[in-house]
Amino acid sequence: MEKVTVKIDGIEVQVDKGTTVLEAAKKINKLIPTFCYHEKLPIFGGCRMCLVYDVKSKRSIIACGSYVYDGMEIETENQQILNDRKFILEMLFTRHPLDCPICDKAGECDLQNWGTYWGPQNNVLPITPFEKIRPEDDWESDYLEYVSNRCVLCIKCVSVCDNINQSHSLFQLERGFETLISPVTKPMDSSSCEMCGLCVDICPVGAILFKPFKYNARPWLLNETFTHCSLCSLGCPVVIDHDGKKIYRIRSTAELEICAKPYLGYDAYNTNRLKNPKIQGKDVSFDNALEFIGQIISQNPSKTALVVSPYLSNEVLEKINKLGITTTSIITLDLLPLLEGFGDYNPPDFEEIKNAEHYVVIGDDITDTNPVITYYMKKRVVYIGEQLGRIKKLYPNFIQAEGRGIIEKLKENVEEGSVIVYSSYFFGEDAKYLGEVLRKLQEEKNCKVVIVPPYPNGFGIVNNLKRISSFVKTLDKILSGEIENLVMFGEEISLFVEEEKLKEIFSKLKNKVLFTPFDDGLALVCDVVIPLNTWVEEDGNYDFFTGQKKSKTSIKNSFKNTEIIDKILKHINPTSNLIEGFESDCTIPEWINRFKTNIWDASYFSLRSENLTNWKIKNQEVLNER
Amino acid sequence: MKYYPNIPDLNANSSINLLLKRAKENRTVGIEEYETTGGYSALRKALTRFKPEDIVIMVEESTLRGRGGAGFPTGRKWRFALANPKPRYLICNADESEPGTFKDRIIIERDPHLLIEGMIISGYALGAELGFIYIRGEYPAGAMILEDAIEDARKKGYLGKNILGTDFSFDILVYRGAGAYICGEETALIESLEGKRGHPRLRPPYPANEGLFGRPTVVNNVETLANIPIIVTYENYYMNIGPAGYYGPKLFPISGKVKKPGVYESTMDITLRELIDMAGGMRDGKKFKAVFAGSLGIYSEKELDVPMDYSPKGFGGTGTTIVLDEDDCIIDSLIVVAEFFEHESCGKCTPCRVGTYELLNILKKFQEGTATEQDIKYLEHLCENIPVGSICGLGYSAPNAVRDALKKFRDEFYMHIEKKCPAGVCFKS
Repeated sequence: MEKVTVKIDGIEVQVDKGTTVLEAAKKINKLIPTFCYHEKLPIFGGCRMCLVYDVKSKRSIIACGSYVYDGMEIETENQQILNDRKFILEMLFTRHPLDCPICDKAGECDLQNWGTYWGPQNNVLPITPFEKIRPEDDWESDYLEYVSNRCVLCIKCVSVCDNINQSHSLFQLERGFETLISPVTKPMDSSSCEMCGLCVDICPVGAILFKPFKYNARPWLLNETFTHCSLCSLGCPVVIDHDGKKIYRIRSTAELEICAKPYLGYDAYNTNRLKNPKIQGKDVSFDNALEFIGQIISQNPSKTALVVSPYLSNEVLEKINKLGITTTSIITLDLLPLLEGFGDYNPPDFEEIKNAEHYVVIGDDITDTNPVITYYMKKRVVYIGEQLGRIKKLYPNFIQAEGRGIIEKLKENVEEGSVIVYSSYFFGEDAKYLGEVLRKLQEEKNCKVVIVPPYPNGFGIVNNLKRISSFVKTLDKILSGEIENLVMFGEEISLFVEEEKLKEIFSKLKNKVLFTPFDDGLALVCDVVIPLNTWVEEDGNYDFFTGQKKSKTSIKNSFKNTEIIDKILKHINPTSNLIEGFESDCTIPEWINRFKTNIWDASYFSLRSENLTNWKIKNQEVLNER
Repeated sequence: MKYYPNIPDLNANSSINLLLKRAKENRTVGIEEYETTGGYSALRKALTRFKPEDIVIMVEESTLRGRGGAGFPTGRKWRFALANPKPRYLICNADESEPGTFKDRIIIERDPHLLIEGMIISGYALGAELGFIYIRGEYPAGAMILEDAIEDARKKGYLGKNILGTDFSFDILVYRGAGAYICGEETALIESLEGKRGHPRLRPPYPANEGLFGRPTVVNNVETLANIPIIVTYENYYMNIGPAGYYGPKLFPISGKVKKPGVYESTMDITLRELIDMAGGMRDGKKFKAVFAGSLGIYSEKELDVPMDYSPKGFGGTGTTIVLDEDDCIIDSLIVVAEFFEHESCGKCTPCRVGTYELLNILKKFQEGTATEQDIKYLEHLCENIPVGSICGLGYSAPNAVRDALKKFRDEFYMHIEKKCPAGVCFKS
C-alpha cells in the first residue's frame, strides 16, 4: 500500500493512500466532531460538523469525505474552523427544543457534548426553543418514538437500516427543513422493521427513542458493562446498562451488531427470577438443597441422568463433566450428528465470510435465528428452504424444498467458492447425511461451511464434555424405569418434548431436579428447584462460531453457577465407570419438536420477554387480518 | 397536429436567428420542417466529415460555456470525461427551475430536434452510446414533445443503430423529474436518475470521472447542447458571433415589469439596458428599480450597463432577468426568492437546510414590521456563513440576493424597520 505523509496541526502522520482526513486525525488522537459519520456506514457528508482547513487549497473541507494526498496540511483548530463549527452548531441550536432535562438522550447526546466544547455560548440568532416548528411524525410503535424537533437530520438512522440491517424500514419524508424520518410502512411494529434498535443507538441526539427505556433512568447514573451477547452462536459485542439490580437496556457497540433478541428481550432478565432454592415448593437454603441433590446422585448414580442446556458457559460445563454421571443434551439431536458426519469442524474466519460473493442459505431462516450474520450478506444469496420468511429482505434466489430435498437442491446449487450457511433444521440421520455432504462440498468445490447453531454454546458442549449420551435413549430409559432421577440444567426440555410425552416422562421419575433462572414453567412442577445465573450475571466463556468470547457479569448475585456445582461435588464420590465418547441420536421420535430460537418463536430467555411477546402478538394480528 | 398540454404563448425574438431560428412562433416544429430548414445537416456533416476528436477541438475553440448558470467551459468538461474509459454517458439537464428562468423550455417545446441533433453530435464526440434527457416534472408537454420527436428521429434513422450508415450508434431516453429544484444540480440529477433521493453527492469524484452508475458522465444544459449543431455548421465563422472570448448566441429569459416579457436571443456584447429595451422597455412608463438575476444577485439602476457575458464583471449565469419597477418592494421580492430556496433546499447539509429557513424567517419579520436593527446583523451573519459549509450551488447562491440587497438597497431595510414600505406593498392592512 502506498503511504502518504500528512501534517495535521503540525504533527506529521503517515497513512495509507485512500484514507480520509478524519481517519488520519484519529491516528494522532485529534478529536474532530461529527454527527453524520460512522466508520461502518457509507460517507454521507451532510452535517458539515467536521470541517477542517486545507492549507494548500486555502479552503474548508470536510474531514470525513476528503481523502489525504501527499504533503497535505490540515489545521483543525484555527479561527476559521472554530467559527465554522460555531456556525453549524448555532444552526442546529436555533430550533432545537431545549428540553434536555426531560430528554432521554441527555448525557450521551452529541449535540450537547459538541455544544459544550465548540458551540456558540451566545447564539447570534435568537433561539426559539418552544416553537414547534417541524410537524410531528407518529411512528405508531410501542417501542420506537421519533421526536422531529430534536432531529439534526444526520440520516444515520436511515443509513444504518439500509446498509447494516438491510431491512429498509426508514426513509426521508419531505425535503429541506421539513424533512422527517419516517417508517416506510405504518404501524411500524408490524412493518419490515426488525427492532434491532440500531437507529436508536446511532442517533446523535434524542430524536429516536426506545420507549421501554424512556423516563426510566438517566444514562449517566447507570453502569455499563461491555460484554458479548450469548443468545445465539454469534456472540455479538453488546453493552448492558444496569444499576446493579436491574437491567435497563442492552445496546450495540460501535460494531453495530445487535438484533431484537437482546435489544427488545432485555426485560426477560428482570422478570420472574428465581431467587432461592426450593424443595417441594418451599424455600430452603442453598446448602440444604445441594446436599439433597448430592444424596440423590450418590445413592444411585447409574439411575441418574443429567440434561445440560447449550446456554451454559464453558466453565459450568467443565464442572458438570466432573459429576461423572450420564449427561445428555439436546445438541445430540442436531449439532452432534451433523458434526459426526462432517468430521473435524473448524469455523471459517468471520472476516472472510463477511466479504464473500455468494451465499447459499439452507434450512432454517437464518435472518430469524441468527440475524446478525445476515447483516453482512450483501452480495448474491440463494435460499433453499420451505418458504421465504424474513430472509426475503436479502432478495435471495429462492428454491423451495423440504426435508432431504434441501440437501439434494444444495448439491445442485453450490458453486465454486460458495459460502454455505446453515443454522439448524435437520435431525439425526438427516443431519449426519448433511454433514457428509457439506464435507464433500467443502473439499471438492472449495466451499466455506458456516454452521451457526441457534443456541450459543453448542460447540462448547462438544468441546468441554467428555461424554454425551443420546437424548432420546435417555428419555426412553426413563420410560422403561432404568433411570429414576433427572437433573436438568436449564429448562428448555419443555420446549423440546411435546407436552403429553413430557407428562408421561415426569410421571415415571422419582426425583425431578431443575436448575433454572426463572420461577415459572417447569420450576412449578419439579421437586427440587435451584436458581441459576444467566449470561448477564456471571462471567463465562462461550465457544461461539466467531471464536471463544467472554460474557461478563453485569448484575452480581449472591451465588455462582460454578460454586453450586462445586458444592454438589462435595457430597458425591464421582464415579468414572461410564463410557467416554459421544452418542448422537439417529432416529428421532415424533414427539420431539424442532429447536426454535427465531425472533418471534423464541425460546428460553426470549420467551419470557414481555416486549418480544407483545411484538409477536401485534404481528400475528396483522398476519391474521390479511 | 398533436395536442400537447400546457404550452404557454411566450414572446420570442432574435436579432441573430440561431437558437430561435424556428422557435419564434408558438408551435412545435416537426421533423420534416426541421429538415427542410437545414436541420440534421450539421449531424450529417459531423458524422461524415469529422472525427469525434475534431468536434471536441471545435467546441474547445468556440469558447462555449455551460449555459446552465455556472458557465464552465464545455470543451474542458468534455476533455475530463474523455480521459476516462468507455462506456460514457451524456445527460441533458432540462431541469431548469430557477425563479424566472424559462429559456430551455422554449427550445424543448418549439424546436426539440435542435436539442436532439445537438445531443447526437455530442454523443458522437464523447463516444457515448446512450444519452438521457432529465426534464423537470412541471414540463409535461416538453417530455411528450421530446418523446415524440425522438421517435420521429428514430424512424428517420438519426437515432438508433448505425446512424446515417456509419458505425456510430446512439439513443436518447427521456426521464421526468419529480419536482425538485435540487435535481438540476448535476450530481443530484445523477442520483435521481439512478432512482435515489435527489441529494447532491460529495465531490470529488466529479461526474466526469464517476457519474451515472459509476461511469464517466457529461451533464450539459439544453441551451449548451443546442449550440453544438450551430458550432458544427458554422465552424470558424462561429467566432464572428459575439464578443471576443464569449462567442455564440445566448438566450435571455426576461420577465417582470417590461412591455414584452419573453425569451430573447442575442450575442453577449449587449448590456442589461439594451436587453430591457429589446423587451420593449419598462411597462406603463414606470421607473426602473432593480433586476433580479435569478439566484445570482440583484442589479440596481447604477449597474444597467453591465455586459451580459461570462466575464468576472459580467451578468453571467443563465441570463435570467426579472425586472422590478418602483411599485415593487425589495423585501417582498426577496421573500419570494427566499421562500423558493427554503422550499427547494434538499436538507442534506446543515448550513443550507437551516440557513435558508432562518433567512426566510428574518425577512418575514421585516414585512410584518417586527424587525429591529439587530435583524440586519442576523441577515449579514447568515449571508456570510451559509455558503462556507454548503455542499452544492444551492447553498452557495441562496444568500446572494439578500447579500446584494443589503449592499444596494440597505435603506429599504431600515425603512421597513420603521414600518414604511416605499413601494406600498407591505403594511397594507
